[in-house]
Amino acid sequence: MFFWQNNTTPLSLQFLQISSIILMVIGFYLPVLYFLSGSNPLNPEDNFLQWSFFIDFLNDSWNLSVIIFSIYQAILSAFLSIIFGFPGAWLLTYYNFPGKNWFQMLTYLPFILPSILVVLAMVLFFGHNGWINRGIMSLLGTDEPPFHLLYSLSGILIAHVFYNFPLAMKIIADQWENISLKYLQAAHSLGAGSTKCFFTITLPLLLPSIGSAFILIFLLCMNSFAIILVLGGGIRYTTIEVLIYQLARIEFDFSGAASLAFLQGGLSLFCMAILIRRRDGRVEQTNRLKCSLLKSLKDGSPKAWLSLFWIALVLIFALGPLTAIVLDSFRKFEYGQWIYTLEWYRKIFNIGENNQFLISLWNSIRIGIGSAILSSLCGLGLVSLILHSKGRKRSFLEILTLLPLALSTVVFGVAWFNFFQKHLIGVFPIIFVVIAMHALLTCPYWIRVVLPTLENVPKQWHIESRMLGKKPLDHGLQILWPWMRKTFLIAFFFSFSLSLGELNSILMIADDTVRTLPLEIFRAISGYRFSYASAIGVILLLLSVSTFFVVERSLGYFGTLK
Amino acid sequence: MNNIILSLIFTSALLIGISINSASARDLTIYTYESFNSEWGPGPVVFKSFEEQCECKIKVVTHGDSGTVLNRSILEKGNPNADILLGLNNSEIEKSFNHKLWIPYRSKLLDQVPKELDLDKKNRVTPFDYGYISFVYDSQKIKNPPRSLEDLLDQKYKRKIVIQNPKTSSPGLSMLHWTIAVFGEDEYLDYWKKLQKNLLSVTDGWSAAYGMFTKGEVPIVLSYVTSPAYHLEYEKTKRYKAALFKEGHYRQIEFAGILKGTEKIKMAQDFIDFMLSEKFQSVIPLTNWMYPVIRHQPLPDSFQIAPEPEVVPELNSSLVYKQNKKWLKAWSRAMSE
Repeated sequence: MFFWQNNTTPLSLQFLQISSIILMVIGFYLPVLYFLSGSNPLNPEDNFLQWSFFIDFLNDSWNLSVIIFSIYQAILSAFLSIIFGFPGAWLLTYYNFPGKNWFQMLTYLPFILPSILVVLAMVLFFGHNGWINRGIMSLLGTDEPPFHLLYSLSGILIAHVFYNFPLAMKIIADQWENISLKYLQAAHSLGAGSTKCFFTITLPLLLPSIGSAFILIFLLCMNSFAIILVLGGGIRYTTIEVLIYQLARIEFDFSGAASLAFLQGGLSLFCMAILIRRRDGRVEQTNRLKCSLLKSLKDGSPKAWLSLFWIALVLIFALGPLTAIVLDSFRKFEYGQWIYTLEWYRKIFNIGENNQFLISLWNSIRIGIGSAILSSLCGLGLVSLILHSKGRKRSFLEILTLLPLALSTVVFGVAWFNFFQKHLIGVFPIIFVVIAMHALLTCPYWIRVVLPTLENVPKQWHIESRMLGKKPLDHGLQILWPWMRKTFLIAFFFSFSLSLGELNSILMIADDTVRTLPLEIFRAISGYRFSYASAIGVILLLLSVSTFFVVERSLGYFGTLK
Repeated sequence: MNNIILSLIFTSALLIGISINSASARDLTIYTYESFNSEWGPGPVVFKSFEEQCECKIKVVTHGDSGTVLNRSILEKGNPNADILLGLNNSEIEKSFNHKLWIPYRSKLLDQVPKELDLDKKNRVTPFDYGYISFVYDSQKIKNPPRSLEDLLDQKYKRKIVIQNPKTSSPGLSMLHWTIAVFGEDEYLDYWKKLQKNLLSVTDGWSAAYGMFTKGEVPIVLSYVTSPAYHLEYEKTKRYKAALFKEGHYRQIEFAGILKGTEKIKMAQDFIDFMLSEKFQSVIPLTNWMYPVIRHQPLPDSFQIAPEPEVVPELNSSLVYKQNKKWLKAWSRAMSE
């Protein structure tokens, strides 16, 4: 598959490709390799990576059980996210319904909140004293919570599925929409039933996208931290990421932390290498006709009713915890009980005295937009490079772009800080450094979201365009853009949202001149103001929803321009 | 069409680059942890009053928790970008001594600080506040509060307690040290094994644990003796109380020091003096929720609910430094059996 023929690659695209490679290398690989290969900043005589550390570490059966559990929970989470996202992918492929785009967008919302708020939202909704348990307790009239969903392996899995199933849904649906109906019709005419068709034709054709979703979710869950500790109950379930955090932050053993991060990166790399295969490029294109869900419901189709049930389930599952946060933002504790109040919102929008919130809001917006633009440009360059290459070179490029997700954020933070401190401080304003860092962290998502759609651009379009003598840029804008714009919208929105919620890099490198909303949340919570933190979380959600709205509208506008 | 996109990109790049806080002339740079300088923390008040007093500018750089701040200072050892590090606790100071971060300075006001708080005889670091960890409970749900660490093992608290992980959180680590100080190195693990069944969750940090507590998920949480004072001061309620234990409570002391490599020694010394003066110390209780090291004036009324424990089990900070890794390793293995 190709994006544009090599010999006709336009200069602008070449420029984009080269600059995105440079950004990736300077922003990620250079600092990390510099850190890993250099000497230990605490004991300059020592080399950073020590072979003896690996041997000692792997000789301990307890450590081995931690490694096994890390992989086990990540595989299980990815698997369940795909199982839960699969009906969604089917639904998006076969049905149109009012508010479909909004439905998709709403499921992404958890990504926007810093993990501490997500954890508290899960507790408010699924916890022993959460909405589900309290609802059923009052129905049954008991005092004992009937469901023990959290604080065990199931707590970890619920939270990971809550976060990740929308990714699976999106990535699989993209591929599904492009499976030619011809195959299915041919199979039907040969007498194959629906079930057989699904297992012999549809599922094999979907495997690349399932693999892609699996890798992404697996990597995210390998690096999960707060969810594992709080919702897993914290003692029995420890992962490599927790050990890395402990070594880097508590014991100041950077060499050990880096070695472990190296090990974790290696494990992830190994899993990626197994999962990333050359994709089947022979998928044909059709414009699949979609049924209207409302109409099918009226016709009494059982599939349609099942879909409706599934939508309702997803909305409860995904929006329940978020609604709990919204309600929490309207209450405060006074004289021993909860009262409902607008106090936190009045505080947020109080323009008079030195309002930290508005400064942080402004910073969050410009960092979010800046990094989403940068991430889109960088992603576009890298995606076109990936599509150019074949075989091993392609797998190599894919892994290269995914590695930033695989490395522990704690170690990335220390490596970045070390590099930044030595080479960049005073050269660039901190805000540009933060934007670049966020773009690097969100770019792998951007690529994963866009890649399957771009891959499915019908081959003959490129050929026809060239035969018509269209310039590459015109081809891009007139042919590819209308085809891609929905995916670009989702990818851009996703990068923006991820950047809005990002806290670690800010904690690591920013000073008081760059404060963002997640930082305000962090500060409010450390100062006992939990409900105020929820109110800022609600603003983050609103910001994200309104961005979605604006981007969707403006894309519609650009789409009609010729 | 292209022009529209290009101009959009450029305008947004320009907008993004506009900085609200342009860097001002700065004289003294202070590293501290995030919550110290939040709008509710002591930072905004005390730094402003020092600026008025010295007629200089302070630049504050905050980084997560005290561990991160120490982390950063160690990475910059000898060539620091700050003059003062503020907010290191007693389980961390030994590490900082080991990395020789400090220029010693003894403030005259230190004579008024109780001897047991002044842990560093070489005056590399100076204490500025202290507090005690304790279990805070919801008095509406727990009628007969526990009165000792042993009481917490009672069957009736099954899955009713949330604490923090000693591997990732500072009160969590203090709890581990507390049990070692009370039960000794040989028996603390037995205590933890028995406690395990009563723990609903062991969270990564104080925030998640205390959030679970105030949102009604658990009735008992590991926090500070002074936490109920917050609820009394701002929420006008005595519903949340600290359980005072007969074994006493482990103490956390916070320190500040002058970083080696600074060129502003005089001004930094003035700041340390200021830190022990009334203008700084009197702000501490209601903003940092700790006790000031010098009582220039009586504690605020809401601190009536936070009486200081009479017994204070302690661990020598150099012993902590030497053994910590071993303890944590033994702890995590014992807890996952």
